[in-house]
Amino acid sequence: MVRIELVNVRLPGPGRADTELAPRLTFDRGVSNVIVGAKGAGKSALLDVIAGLRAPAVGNVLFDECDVTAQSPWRRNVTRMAANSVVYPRLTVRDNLALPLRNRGCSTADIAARVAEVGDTLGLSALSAERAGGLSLALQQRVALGRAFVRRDAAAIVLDDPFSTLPLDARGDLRDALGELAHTVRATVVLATTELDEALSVADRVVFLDRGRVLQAGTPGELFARPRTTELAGMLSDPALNVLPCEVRAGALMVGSARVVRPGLAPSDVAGRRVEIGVRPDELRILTAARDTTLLATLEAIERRGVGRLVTLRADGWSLRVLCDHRQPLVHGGRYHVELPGTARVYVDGELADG
Amino acid sequence: MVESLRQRRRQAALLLTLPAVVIVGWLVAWPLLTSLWPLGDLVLPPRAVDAVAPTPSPAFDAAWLTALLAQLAYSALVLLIEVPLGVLLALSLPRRGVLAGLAVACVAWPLAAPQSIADWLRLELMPRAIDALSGWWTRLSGEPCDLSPLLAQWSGYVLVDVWRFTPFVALVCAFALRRDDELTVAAGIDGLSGWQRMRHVHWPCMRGACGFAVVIRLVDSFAAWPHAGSTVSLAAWVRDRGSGGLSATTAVATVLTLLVLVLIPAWPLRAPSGGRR
Repeated sequence: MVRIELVNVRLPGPGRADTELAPRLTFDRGVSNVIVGAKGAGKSALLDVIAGLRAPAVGNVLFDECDVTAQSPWRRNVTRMAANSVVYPRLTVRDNLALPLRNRGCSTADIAARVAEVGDTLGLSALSAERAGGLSLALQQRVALGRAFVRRDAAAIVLDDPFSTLPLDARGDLRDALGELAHTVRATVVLATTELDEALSVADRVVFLDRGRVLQAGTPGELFARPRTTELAGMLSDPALNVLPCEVRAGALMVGSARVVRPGLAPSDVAGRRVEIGVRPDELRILTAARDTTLLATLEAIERRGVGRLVTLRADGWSLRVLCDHRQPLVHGGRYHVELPGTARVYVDGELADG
Repeated sequence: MVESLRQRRRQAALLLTLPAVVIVGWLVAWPLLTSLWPLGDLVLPPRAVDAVAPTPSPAFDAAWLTALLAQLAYSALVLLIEVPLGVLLALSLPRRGVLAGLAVACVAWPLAAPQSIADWLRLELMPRAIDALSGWWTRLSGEPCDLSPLLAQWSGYVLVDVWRFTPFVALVCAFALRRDDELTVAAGIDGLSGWQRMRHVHWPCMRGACGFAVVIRLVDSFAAWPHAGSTVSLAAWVRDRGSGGLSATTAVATVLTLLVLVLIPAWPLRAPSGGRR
C-alpha cells in the first residue's frame, strides 16, 4: 500500500500539456479514491500516468515519496483493469487469475488458495475450468476484476471505468464484489468513472477532473457542502443548482430585493467583480410572509418528485427551482416569498469565495 | 439472452447461405459457360489463349504423382517460410502514428510488383546468382561445385514467392493484431514473457487471420509452380476447360478456392464471445 502523489503534473495528450493537473494531487492509502469526469476529461491519461503506462508531459509521480516517474508498471508493482473486458481468451478462468501470481513467483499452494478466494468472491468458482474467451462480457469483466485484485502485494490498483460496458443490472453486483475484494488487498485503489452516483457509492475520496485539471478533491461530504466552482456545484446537484447573480448595494450583497446573509464575507471585497450565489433546490424555502432575505416569485410549474415536489418559480427574470413537500399548499400562478438561506455559497468570478 | 441467441442464429444462417448461393450459382452457370465458350470462338476474333496448344490431359501415372508431390512439397516449403516470417514481420510493425502507415507501405510494395519483375528474378537473376555462388565455391575450395539445376529452379521460385507474398501474410496478421492493444498492455502489467505473450495474447488474435492467409497462399502457391501441370486459378479453369486444358492440379486449386469461399463467411461464427452468463 502506497501513498501516491503527483507533483506539478501535466497530463500527456493533445491540448493537455498546457494545463497543470494540480500543484500536488494525492491518493491516500487505505481509502477508495475515485476520479470523476466527463469523457475526454483526462481520467484514463491520469490512470496511465499513475500506472506507468504513459509518462506525464511534465511533473513527477511519487510512490511513498519515492520518484517512480521513469519506472515501468511492473517495477511500480501496479495492476490495472480496463473498461473493456480484457482477459486471455485461450486460458481458463483459473489460469487467467493465476497468471499474474505465477509471474511474480508465488508458490503453487498460495496461488491455488488466492485464486479460489477471488473466484468465490466473484462467483466464478463454478466456471474456473471454462475458457475465458467463451464467457459473456459481464463474466469476462468479473475475470478482469479478479485479475486486478488477485495479487495481495500490489502497491496500487487502477481501474479505468470498469462498469461502463456492463448492463445496469450487472453493475451493482460487480460494485459489491469490488468493495469486498478491496478489503482483501493492501493496495491503494484508484478508480475512474464518468458516473457521479457510481463514484459516490464506492468513494472515500473523490477527485473531479475537467479538461486535464483537477476541479476539486475531497470527501463526498466536503464536495457536496462546498463545491469550489459553480460548474462543479451544478454537476453535484440534481435537480440543477440555482445560480443567481448578486450585486453589492448599500454595503450588502443583494439578489434582486433579497439580502444575502454571508458571515465572514465583506461585500466591499467583491465589489466590481462577478458575484453569484449557488443554492441547491432543497436549501430554498417558500414562505408566506416577506423578509429582507426573501424574493417575491411567481409559481410557474409543479413537478412531482417521489416524496416531494419540484417547484419552478420566476423572480426578477430568474428561474428558481425549489424542492418542497406535499403538505405545503401551492397553486399555479400564485405569488410566494422564497427565502435565500444563510448557507448559500458565494462564487466570485466562478470560484468559491472563502469565509 | 434468448433474443441474442436467435439473432446469432439468423446471422449464422445468412452467412452460410452466401457461399451456398455462390456454389449453386456456379453449378448452374457452369454448363452454360462450357456450352457458350466454343460458340464464342466461332464469332469472336481469335484470342491469345486459343493460339496456345491445349495441355494434354494428364495420365495418372507415377510421373503425375511425382509432379503432384513436388507441388505439395513446394507449397509446404513456401508456407513454412512465409507464415513464421509474416507473423514476425506483423509483430514488429509499429501500430500507431505516421510510422505505422509508412511501415505498411514499405512492407506491402512487393505485392504490387509486376509479374515481369518476378519472372526476371526467378528466371534470370536467381540462376545467375546460383552460378556465381558455384563459381566462388570452386575458386575458394578448389573443388568443382555443381549445384543442380533443380536446386536453382526451386530456390528461385521459393525466394521470389517468399519475397512477393510474405507481406500479404504480414499485413493480414498485422490487421488482426490491431485488436489486442489492451491485452498487450495487460500482458505488460501481468509480467508475461515473450513466449507467453505470443501464446496468450498475439496468437489468439492472429490465428483466424493466419489461417485465412495460409489457405489463400496455398491456393496461390499451386498456381505459381508450373511443373505439375497447368496450375491456374478459378477464372482460368473456365478458359482451360473450354480449350480442353483442365488438369488435376487445377481441380485441386479450384477445390481450395471453393473452400475459401466457404471459410471466409463462416469465420465470424467462430468469434470468441460465448453466450454464457
